[in-house]
Amino acid sequence: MGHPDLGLNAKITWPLALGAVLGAVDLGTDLYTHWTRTMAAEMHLPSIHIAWPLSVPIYFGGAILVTIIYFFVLLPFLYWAIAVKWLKGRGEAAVYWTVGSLLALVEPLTQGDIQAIQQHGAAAVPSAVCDLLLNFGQVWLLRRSGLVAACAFRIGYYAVWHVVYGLI
Amino acid sequence: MSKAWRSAAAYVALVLCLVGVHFVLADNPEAARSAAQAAVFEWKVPGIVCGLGLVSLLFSI
Repeated sequence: MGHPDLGLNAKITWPLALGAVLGAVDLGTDLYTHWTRTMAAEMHLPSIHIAWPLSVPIYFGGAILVTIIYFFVLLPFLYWAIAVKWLKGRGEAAVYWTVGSLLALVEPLTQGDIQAIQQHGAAAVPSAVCDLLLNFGQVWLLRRSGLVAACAFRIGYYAVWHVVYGLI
Repeated sequence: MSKAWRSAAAYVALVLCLVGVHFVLADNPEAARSAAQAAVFEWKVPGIVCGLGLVSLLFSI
């Protein structure tokens, strides 16, 4: 999983921008489906988003913490144990993507995406798809550019989905 | 600076960001949407997660 020396654009700028685009897509579809409004009503909250201006540091830290929990705690160790030590480098990409894909499914499966689709139908689909893209995007970026890039991708997504959308 | 040191420095910077958020949330506990959300940034959770992440860092460099 060693990464070549990459510049700041590859590690921060592009992942941030890609995350922001994904967040904008999620925001745009939610303006049409009003899915978050339904979720907030179910939880008896005025909004699912933390209020400005504390939304900025809390979602920034949340993005880092979630990235470490979901991907950085297990993925490098399992990759090392299976691909490097056990298989001696054979099929290392397949090992990475198998482990990474399983980890990428943790958030969508544990945060109620499937139940939401079963319960509310099509309105919950765009958000679940964006969740999957967010997690698989992080697996891809962790391999391509490292932990900072994977964090930056989620920070960009949260910046639009939680911070900007929280202001609308 | 070697690549390993740069990776370690980047990881420490990310952890320091979490420490900063801990203090922000400690000063503004009403900001969280739920007690569970606030608990995520108490010392215990980030401490365990960042400790495990530090071990993972050794496998990734």
